[in-house]
Amino acid sequence: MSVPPPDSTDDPLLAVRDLAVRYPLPGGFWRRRSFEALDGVGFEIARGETLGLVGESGSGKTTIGRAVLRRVEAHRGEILFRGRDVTRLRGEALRRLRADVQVVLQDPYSSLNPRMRVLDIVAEPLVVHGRAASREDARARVTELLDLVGLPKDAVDRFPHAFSGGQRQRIGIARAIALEPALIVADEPVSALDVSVQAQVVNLLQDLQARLGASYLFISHDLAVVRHIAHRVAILYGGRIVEIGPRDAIFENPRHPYTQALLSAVPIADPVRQRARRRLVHAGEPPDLAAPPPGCRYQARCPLADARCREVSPPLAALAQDHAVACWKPL
Amino acid sequence: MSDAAPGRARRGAAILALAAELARDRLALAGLLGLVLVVVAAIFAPLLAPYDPAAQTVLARLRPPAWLAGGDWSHPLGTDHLGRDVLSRVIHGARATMLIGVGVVALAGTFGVAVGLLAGYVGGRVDGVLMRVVDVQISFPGILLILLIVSVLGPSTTTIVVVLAATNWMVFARVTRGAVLSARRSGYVEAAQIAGCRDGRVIVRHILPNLVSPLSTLAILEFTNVVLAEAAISFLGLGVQPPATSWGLDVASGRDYVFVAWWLVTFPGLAIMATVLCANLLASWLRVTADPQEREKRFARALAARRGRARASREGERTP
Amino acid sequence: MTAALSPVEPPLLEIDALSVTFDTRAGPVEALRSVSLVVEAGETLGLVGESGCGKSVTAQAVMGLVDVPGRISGGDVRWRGRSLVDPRNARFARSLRGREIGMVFQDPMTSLNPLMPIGAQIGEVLTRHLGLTKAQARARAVDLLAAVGIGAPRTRVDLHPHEMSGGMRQRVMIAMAIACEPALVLADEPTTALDVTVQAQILDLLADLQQRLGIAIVLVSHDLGVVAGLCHRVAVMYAGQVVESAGVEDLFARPAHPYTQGLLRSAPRLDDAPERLVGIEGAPPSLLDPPQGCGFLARCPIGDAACAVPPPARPVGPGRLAACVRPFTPAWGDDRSVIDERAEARR
Repeated sequence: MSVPPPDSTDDPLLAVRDLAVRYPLPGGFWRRRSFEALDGVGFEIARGETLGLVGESGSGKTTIGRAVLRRVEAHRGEILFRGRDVTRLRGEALRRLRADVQVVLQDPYSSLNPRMRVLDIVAEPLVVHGRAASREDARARVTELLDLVGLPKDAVDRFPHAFSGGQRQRIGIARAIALEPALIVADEPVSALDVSVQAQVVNLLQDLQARLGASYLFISHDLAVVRHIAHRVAILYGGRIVEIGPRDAIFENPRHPYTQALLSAVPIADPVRQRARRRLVHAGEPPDLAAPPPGCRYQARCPLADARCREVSPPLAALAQDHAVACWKPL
Repeated sequence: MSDAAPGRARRGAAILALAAELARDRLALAGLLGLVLVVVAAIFAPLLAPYDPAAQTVLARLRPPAWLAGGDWSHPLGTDHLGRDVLSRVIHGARATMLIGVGVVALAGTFGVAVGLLAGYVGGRVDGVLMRVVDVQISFPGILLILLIVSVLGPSTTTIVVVLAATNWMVFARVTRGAVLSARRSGYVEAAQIAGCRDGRVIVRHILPNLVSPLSTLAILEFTNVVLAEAAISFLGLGVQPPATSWGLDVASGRDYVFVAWWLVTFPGLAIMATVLCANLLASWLRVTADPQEREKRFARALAARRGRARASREGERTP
Repeated sequence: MTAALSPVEPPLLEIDALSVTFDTRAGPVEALRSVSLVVEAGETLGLVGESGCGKSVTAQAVMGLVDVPGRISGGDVRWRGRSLVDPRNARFARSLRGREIGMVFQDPMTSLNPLMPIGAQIGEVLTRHLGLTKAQARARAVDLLAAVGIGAPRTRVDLHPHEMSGGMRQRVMIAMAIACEPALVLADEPTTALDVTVQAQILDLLADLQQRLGIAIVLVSHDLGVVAGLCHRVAVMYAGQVVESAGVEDLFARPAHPYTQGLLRSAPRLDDAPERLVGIEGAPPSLLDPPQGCGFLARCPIGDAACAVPPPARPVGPGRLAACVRPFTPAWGDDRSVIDERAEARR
């Protein structure tokens, strides 16, 4: 990789422990029902490292990002940022955390205020955190940032509608790095982009990481993109991490039945190889998180499931160095 | 500041484009011109009206409009049972209508928008409580509330404004709340909050601008409601009190003479109808204009119609 | 024009120099600029390209779904040789849609009626087009649900769309599309809204139906992997034009047009993770004021003065067309090796 390996000497930048998040279900005036979007999720991100979070809809990957950004409350567990639990931060303390944890959103169209000029959009974090001494200063900083993300100087005075999807995403990235945050939560940052542009933005994120040393929590449903950008990968299913490990271990030696099925389902842009591939089809639906079954969340679809899988949840256990699987019968 | 210039030029061009679009839409243009006429009449009533609306001329009672037998151009729209000039009363009546209409919309709008903002932005329990208050108020019969308050406070223009605002703010709250909720879900509001913007800044810079177009359409529609309500209340004798004038009041006082002097109810009635119609035409144009997709469709349809006409006229020339 | 293989029998679907214009306030947007395509009976044609390239508009034009502010501004769409654009054939065109031509959209939720059980919705198609009775239609709906892989169809036939998962809803859409045994199904990004494991199942279903029923499929997709797995032939669109069409293996093994080459090398692949992804610099041209010459010129590494005249689509191999002055020239020189290696590895 062109990106330098994460320095493993330090404490992790972010450590999530036993995180659970519940969302209320609509209806039910007297007894509020809820469903458990996340249950007992734990992982760490080192400084300068990219952790890819992969899962299908409803797996909880976006909820993890929202919890780290403090957009949803943790029902249980802790989120340690630089060793300090941030789940209970309020007011000014939370605002100070915001300067250190930024976001790149999925939709390049809705994520930029159409009524604001690029200058004001990118300068906003600087202004609200008092990091811009004057308007001239803000302008100079924004021009610098735009240059860093590969946009022309004259972009500052234009409005978002004058830009293409890829360029808009660059503006969003410039806004995210304006405060030089230690962690950037990238929630499907290239999913809305065309492939030819996707590559540019993925490369930009990698270059910026090399220059600024930020850590990324890279949330995506696209395994191919994650393979290119992540150092480590966590696979989510039904609100739990089923497998986590170094990128190559996950992609070349997946141990959880779900990870294998997921990888085999990704189409490959090569007709000969694609038609020759063996696909593992595990039919069925993700579990109902309002009333999750006991035991493993994947049991209903897993061809290997037995009585123990249906009764006792498998813990996330290390198989090899840094490679852990939540399965009673890892492959 | 040097960088303000392109923005200003852009805005100027956008306004010009908007004006050109309005000019193409004849109905909307008529609506706008009609409303401008009412506003001008209201502001310059003393200059425009030939007589004092309250001046009675016993010798010239129940004169018909000028174009009828017995009428003459000294009273173009005739006179009423006290010999007051109908035209002057219609012109001065615009004052009451505008004053009350604008006043109520401003008051109800301010209160309703504040409630809607609070409910939509804070959400949760605050939202629940405020919206239940709105529901209760909506389900309470408005006319009953009006009668109740007026009978306690006594009829006056101020009372009407307060009473109508009290029965009309809910729709502003609902629309605002809906717009705030959808704006809050948008990516840029989320990004602003994560960037560390305080709530005030998020509301003013990122949420309020989204409310301008839905609320301006709503304000015009509500204005028409208020005009009608004011007319109804004044007709019932609970609104504007003589010697002040109001279209509703004039319709009421003219109703006893409807068989001998139809013009007493007709002209103030027409004024009410025309004002409401104009406002509705303008509002429906605004609604489409505020929706980018609908706006493009309207443009394309107009273009297609023009192309069709051009083709028809070409063919017409070929086969005379 | 496209080579007609058999002179007697006109192709199933022929799109001939079709142009579609959107009248916007900013000016006319030329969404399609003289697009020509042929779909033969029983074949699967992939229509790939990036957002705004015109692939969805092409499908909409075939379905008669181009509506204000869009309009067909030139060319023709012919079904077995008969025009669907000619206003005199409007009745004929309407009678085809839903019967001879089925349609599957990206988001089944917006095209299914939320208030109606799915069986009744499938039945409606059958009673309208085939004149079946209600009981017959219901029985056939159950069969169709079974055919698209929905278990327990007898009970599921009474479910409402919101009671089903996204994948199931897409299966229902497919059941509706094939209800009248059409000759062609237009599938516009049918799996884009689905998770990959579900996508795999839906693609298998489409391939299976295509083989069993001999239906022709036009698959509109931005995903090269999806197209690689399902299609026989592929047409690549860019800036409102078809820049290349070829058999799927030829196209992926030896892309002729620089844009196709660029598209193939920029797609991140699961089976090999190079050091760095490569994109195509720049962005597609505005169709408000499309370039006079080749639409890809501004981003093309090998473009020059010769490309200032619009290159016509011309044969560049058996069953292959490309709109490029220099087909097969490796546009991204250093990556030629990668493309060759892949081709070698396969042989």
